[in-house]
Amino acid sequence: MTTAALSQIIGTAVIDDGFRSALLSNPRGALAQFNLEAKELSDIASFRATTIEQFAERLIVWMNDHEPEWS
Amino acid sequence: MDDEQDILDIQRRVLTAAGYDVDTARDGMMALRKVATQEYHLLVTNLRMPEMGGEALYRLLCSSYPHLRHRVVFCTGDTANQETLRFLTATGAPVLFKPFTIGALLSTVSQALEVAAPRFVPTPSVCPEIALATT
Repeated sequence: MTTAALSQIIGTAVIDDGFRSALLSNPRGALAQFNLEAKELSDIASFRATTIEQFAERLIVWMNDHEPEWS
Repeated sequence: MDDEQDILDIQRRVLTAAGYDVDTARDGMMALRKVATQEYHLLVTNLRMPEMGGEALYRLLCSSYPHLRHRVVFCTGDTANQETLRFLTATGAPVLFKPFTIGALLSTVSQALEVAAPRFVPTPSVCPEIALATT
């Protein structure tokens, strides 16, 4: 997965209320439409966030923890 | 920030030659990662991008990094879209309408920095290529 793909997830969630709600309440289901590898999906779907800003922050931390993949 | 590498490269070279420290990002998450860990005086971002547009990025910045709200310059060629124009007007942010010249880029950045970081003084470098392009 690329940072562009992650940008698409967050970018869509910011402007699409329905996707945002789904991402926050059922991330595994919401992320199914993206081509995530099983480990990526498992990791990202485990984020606990009540706002998209929190979700984005979790994603940044996760990306930082997986250097140098995202540099 | 821009999804087109050529545009990023040109802007980086022009602004670097004018004395600015320039960092670039090709998508929103890359930009968000950078602003989460580094301090920036100004963010110049394209508005229309495929994954995360400038509007979405701006909303996230305003929520998570509110001090950056007044440090954004938008670039857009989408001058006919009323929604775009309403958004840009609502932000009050400076806008570079494409196609823009090197002079427009430099003057917009300079003016925006006077507001965002009034004590910042760039240190121009000698760059014949850029000088040639502006004459």
